[in-house]
Amino acid sequence: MAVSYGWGGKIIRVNLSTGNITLEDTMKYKDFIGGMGIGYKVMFDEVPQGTKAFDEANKIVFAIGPLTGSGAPSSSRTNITSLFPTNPYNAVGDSHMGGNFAAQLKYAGYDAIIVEGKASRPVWLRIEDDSISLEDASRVWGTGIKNTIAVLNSVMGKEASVAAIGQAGENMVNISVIMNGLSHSAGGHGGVLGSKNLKAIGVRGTKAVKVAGKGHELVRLNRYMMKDIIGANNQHVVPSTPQPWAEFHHKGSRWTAREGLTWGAAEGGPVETGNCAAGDVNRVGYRTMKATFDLGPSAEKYTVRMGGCQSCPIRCMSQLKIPKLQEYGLSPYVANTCMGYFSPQRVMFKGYKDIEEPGDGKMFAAAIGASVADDYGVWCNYGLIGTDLRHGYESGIFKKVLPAEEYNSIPWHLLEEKDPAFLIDFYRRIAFKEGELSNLGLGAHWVAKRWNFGDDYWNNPKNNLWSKLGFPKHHSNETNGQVGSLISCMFNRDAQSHTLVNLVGSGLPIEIQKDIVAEIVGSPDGIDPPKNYTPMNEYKAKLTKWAIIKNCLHDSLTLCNWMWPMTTSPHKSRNYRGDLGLEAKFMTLVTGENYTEESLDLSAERIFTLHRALTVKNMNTIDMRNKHDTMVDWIFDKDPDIPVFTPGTDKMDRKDMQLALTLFYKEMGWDEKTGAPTRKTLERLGMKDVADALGGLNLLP
Amino acid sequence: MRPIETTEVKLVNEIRASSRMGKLLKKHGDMEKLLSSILENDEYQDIHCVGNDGDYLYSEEEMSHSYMEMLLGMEEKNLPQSMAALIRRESKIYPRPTPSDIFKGAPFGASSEDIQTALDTMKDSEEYGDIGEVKASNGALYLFSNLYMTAPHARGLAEWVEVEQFDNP
Repeated sequence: MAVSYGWGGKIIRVNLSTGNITLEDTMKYKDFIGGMGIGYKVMFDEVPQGTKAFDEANKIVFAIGPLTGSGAPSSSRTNITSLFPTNPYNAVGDSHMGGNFAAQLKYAGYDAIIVEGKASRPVWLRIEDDSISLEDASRVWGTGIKNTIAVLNSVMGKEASVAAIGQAGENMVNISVIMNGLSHSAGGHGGVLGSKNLKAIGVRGTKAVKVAGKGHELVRLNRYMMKDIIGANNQHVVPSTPQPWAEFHHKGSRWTAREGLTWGAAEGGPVETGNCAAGDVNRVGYRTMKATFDLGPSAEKYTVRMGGCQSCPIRCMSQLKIPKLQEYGLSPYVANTCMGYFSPQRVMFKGYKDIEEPGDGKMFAAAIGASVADDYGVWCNYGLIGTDLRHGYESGIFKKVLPAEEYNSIPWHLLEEKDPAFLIDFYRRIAFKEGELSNLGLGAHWVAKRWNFGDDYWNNPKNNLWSKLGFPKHHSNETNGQVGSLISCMFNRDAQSHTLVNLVGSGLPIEIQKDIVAEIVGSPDGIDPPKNYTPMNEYKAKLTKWAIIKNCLHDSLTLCNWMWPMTTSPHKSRNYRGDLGLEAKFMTLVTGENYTEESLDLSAERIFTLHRALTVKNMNTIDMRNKHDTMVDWIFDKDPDIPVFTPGTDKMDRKDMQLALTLFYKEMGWDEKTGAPTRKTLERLGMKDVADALGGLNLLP
Repeated sequence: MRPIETTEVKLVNEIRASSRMGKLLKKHGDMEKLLSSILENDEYQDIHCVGNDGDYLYSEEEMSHSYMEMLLGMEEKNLPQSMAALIRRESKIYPRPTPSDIFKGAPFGASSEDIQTALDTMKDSEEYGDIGEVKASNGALYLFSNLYMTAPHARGLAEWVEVEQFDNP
């Protein structure tokens, strides 16, 4: 194989049924960049229509991209693609994880791992540079993720990164995770590994990532990004409190560093975050104090430090030491971020009692829940497990569908008493599929079907459901109205797209945001002030396309879409403009080939259109408008006292959303009636083979 | 060789350091002549005299214009006026309501009692007739100017920041 810059150049294919391990050339997937793009292409080409997530014929693809491990900031993302078990059609979905796994895979010289078949007994995959083998997993099968990682790291060495499933994955719980580094989890595909008897993948690489450009050029580009462009978590570019250096502030910003705020349990004594001014390269890692943002002020004194992924200057994972956790039979150490902490809070829907001091109940619920769920490997379907529990309990449905003996064995009194010990019992039942209650692990669509959850479930705004395909809102109607809504309709699970929400949540005034959007789509009308939306227009359709394809680009390069693209900057001197060409600059430097923003966007459009083609194939229908791109009623019916498109509401209008779909399909070059990709568009994007395949299935509009 | 630090340079450095620390430097002693020289020097274009009588000095390189205005308001020891200025600015440029607890932190440093007293004053004064209050469902108090946004809009946005964003993290 020729020297490959950026890409490792090789893909590992592991057939678990035969035990065969082979290598393939990555370059056959070059048009699809890497990561998500490789995943979709493999799934489209190789997994037969009608296959279900836990069938032996399903495949699962762990893929990274040309920028992974290259030195580009925030680039250690692993994209996992497979059929998605919570989806009623088991249509394709992605889960992603940060941590060190992606970088280690690149250091070993690989761009992807394609796993197929099913092992006859539990195994784990061991990758150490050129040495790849399947190993007996009987020592770790049946144990949690923490033990599995500890045992396999003792075999491979502490430098190795191990991605593993817990008991939830082994038991093929639909909502289960694959996790590396004890807190970096990819939600939704744990059961697929379990169905294949694959407990874990350990990888250790010692090779260099080949970079075409000069080292000092890479350092210079890196420094430019660090000094002039990057903000805090979610690329928020103003601080959360007024600070001398900042023209603007915003309470919702994740740039939470300020004078007097500390990592209170840091080794050697508290470390103050201080005010971290824009441009201060050496304090970028202090900007995001996520512990108190996620868990409240009680978390400050337990914060050892903020951690994060390989290559990422934004430390968004709070690492805590809470000695009291030992009284619950848990390690005092816990780490996570965002939904990892928020989800257990939602399971405790009755509230949380104080544990050590007033107001600390939320933090204890989050820490205990994250610790237990992460070890079992239970996912939350972006928080819906708590919603589903609450609905089943408060509606009285559980009293009807659970056997009396089981119902009475559940410690509801702990829930009522707001005692976080409830979480320990709860997650065990889900992970081990104990009793009828454990069907909460099926995911919202299947749960509602099994227990006849009705319209009061789907249409309650507090439940946060988005689609009857069984996923929740995830930066949807509240994020620029129709644009966030369209984004949320396009995938087979909750949209994990942060391109748009990072701009909306940047903390910049609306006129600056409008100016930026005008530069992107040609008109400021692409964006409205929050909760003051206007009817649909073509610029919103263009902004939707922009947001989604940037997301697909990042999941293919791989870069963290929780940070990228660099739409904004914290610097007034730049008029708060970021650099949307930065991905291309890194790609050109790393690969030695000439990339532009436009050329990368075209590749990403190809990848997203392939996702659409896969969805058409998986669902066996071209009627995406009526069968896929749908929203539940509360999104149109909320705030009955406030008319749509007036200040104060983020509700949408049914007729207007149909227009939104039409305009978006038009932007994508899809059939405006059905929303399915046309042959013309597929061929324009170089996917004649995909068009032919869909044509053969009678699935072209 | 290290350049000689002139009186002029010393004062400029003092102004910049104060700004970096979030403070305005009040004119002191007989510095008018020195200041005239600084203000005419192209190298010190970041230095400005602000306040009604130009009594305060700051560096725009080290301190934002908005922070300087907040500090100036506090120097005048008129909390209702300072609060109203920030509330109107945010209602106008975002638009968004302003959380009342923001006035507890820098640069305001007001106590809960101070804030409540200021709010009571504002309610009784025609000068602040445009300032309204809304509450999020968690009880957090937000303030807005009806010159630039409506109460339902302010309420909806307060609810997002306080409650809804944590359902969509």
